Amino acid sequence: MILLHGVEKIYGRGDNSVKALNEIDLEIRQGEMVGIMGVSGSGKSTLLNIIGCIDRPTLGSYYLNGKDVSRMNQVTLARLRNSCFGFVVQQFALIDDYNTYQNVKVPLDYTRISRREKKKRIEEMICRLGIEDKKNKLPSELSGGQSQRVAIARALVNRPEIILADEPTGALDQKTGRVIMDIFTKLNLEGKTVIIVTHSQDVAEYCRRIIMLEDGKIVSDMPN
Amino acid sequence: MKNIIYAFDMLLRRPFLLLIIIIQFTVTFLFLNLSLTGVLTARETTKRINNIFEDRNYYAIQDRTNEELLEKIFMQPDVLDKMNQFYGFLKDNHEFDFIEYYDGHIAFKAAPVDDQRFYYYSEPIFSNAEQERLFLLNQVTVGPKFFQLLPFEIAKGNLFGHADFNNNDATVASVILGHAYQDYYDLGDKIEFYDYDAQTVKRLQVKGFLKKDAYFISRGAGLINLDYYMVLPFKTVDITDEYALANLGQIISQSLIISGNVKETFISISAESNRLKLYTSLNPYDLNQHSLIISDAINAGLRSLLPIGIAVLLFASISMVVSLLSFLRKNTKEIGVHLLAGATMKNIALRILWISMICLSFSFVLATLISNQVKNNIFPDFYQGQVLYYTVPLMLLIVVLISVWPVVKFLRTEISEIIRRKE
Repeated sequence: MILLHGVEKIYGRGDNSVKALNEIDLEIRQGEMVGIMGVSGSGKSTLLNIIGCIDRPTLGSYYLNGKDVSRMNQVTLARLRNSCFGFVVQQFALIDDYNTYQNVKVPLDYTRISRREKKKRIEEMICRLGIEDKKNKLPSELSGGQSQRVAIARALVNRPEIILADEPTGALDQKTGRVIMDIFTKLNLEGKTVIIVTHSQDVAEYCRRIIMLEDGKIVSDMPN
Repeated sequence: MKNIIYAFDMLLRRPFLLLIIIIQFTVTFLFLNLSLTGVLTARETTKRINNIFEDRNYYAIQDRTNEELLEKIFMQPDVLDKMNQFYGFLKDNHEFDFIEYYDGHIAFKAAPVDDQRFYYYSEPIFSNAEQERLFLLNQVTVGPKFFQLLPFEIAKGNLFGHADFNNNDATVASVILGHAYQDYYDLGDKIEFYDYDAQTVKRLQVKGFLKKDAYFISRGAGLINLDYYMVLPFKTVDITDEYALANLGQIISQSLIISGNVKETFISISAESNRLKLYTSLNPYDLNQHSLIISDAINAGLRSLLPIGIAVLLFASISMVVSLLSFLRKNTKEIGVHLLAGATMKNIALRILWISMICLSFSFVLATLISNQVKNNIFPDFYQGQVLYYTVPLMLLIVVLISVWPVVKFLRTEISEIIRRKE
């Protein structure tokens, strides 16, 4: 499903350049639940960005479902981000002026489905994550756990195959973090590929495969 | 369409910023609109002055007689007779054309029209014997050669005929009305006015209407638009009353002279005046030159406005660029979410452009509405509509110019950087 070969990512130019990823070879199959770990600056978020088509590799190739992503233009990449990936980012990244319903709706604004279908999907996702009573609430009126549920609902509303989560429990207490991780586990059991960037051992325990990064290189890749 | 809706949505969620931008640009566009109206007015004024004079040279009689001496001259017992002789000489000579003309006002006991452009004074005055309110409207009095020699045309009815200038009926006179009067009167209508001199109500009968845009340059009033004037025939009977001397003086100084040889003409005018022991120093006053002075004065005023205009525009544009950049910074998280959800950088760049477009269009419409109110009071109306040909492209150009820097800055940023960035 995801195949990276010899991927390098260099930021900046000349003397100021920084190699964030170095010779990454990686294959992630459908239905895996992978944890990417490493210290700060090890390149885990950069790797997630490349997998999620947010960034392009400076060198190397990236195949998603057999298609060479590194040669795709901006519009195709945007379409891929919309249809293949669901992003859950640190600090939830909810739009402050939007209520729960409107926040969940954002990815659907870039799809060509009917208004009725959009409404159906949003309601379904909100229900599934148990936040139906928070439908009209603004992010400021939600707890950390509720906010992350909204963020997950937003990531899933387009029915993507791959969920990319960057420190999904970083802003949550331990108990709420476990609830959120249970949701990811359940999604994985339903067949979704889940890739989680974390430096938390508790979160890593939920993953069935752990990739360790150090200075932009994979130093270990083994089942958990 | 989606980008426009998002631009609107983003702006409405930042009402304070929106308000600041709109106020700044409304003031800027108001200034631009009025300055541009001034430029067009100056240009159109020159054009219209040229239309009036065509290639002919028009002169007025300028009196430089010593004031004290003039007072003595006018104390002479037979001065009215002499002035009549002098006036007769000007009218009846065969060497040059003497176009009788003077502008002033005509009084009404009730306001006959409801548009300020017709009025000589915006407020009524209290000046007749009974201290009644009198409404003063613009009026010019002309002699027979006015319509013969100047390029004015009639839209409806007839021009003055011989009978109108020799009308012995003291109660009714003919009147030709400016084009704008057609909304109020019809041919043959009788209009009651108050005769100041006779202190009585008299009547005017509508004989015709002038064609639109009948501009004329008067020595006293500058460029006037006869669309809002009543034109009365100058009647010989007028100069026999007790105000004859003042009237004759006015006619002589305001009327126009066309001559192939102005030097000779003024030698003969001065000779006749000297023979009658009237004015001792009469010189030609070049009306073409006079009109050039008017347009030069307008142009000079505008030239001094230009640096202020550029400074105002520059300030508002820089401020808009800063506001846009700050707007983008404040919305980083939102933009990042949209990019993750499937928006392209192009979508976001277009939204920035639309944000500028919406703010500036709104300010533009507001400024246009305000300036139309202001302009009606200070400029003649031949600019109407023309200003938009210049201001609309200018506004679009400003939209593009002020959006370029934020858009380019944004497009150069990696999506990952936007997502990482803190607001």
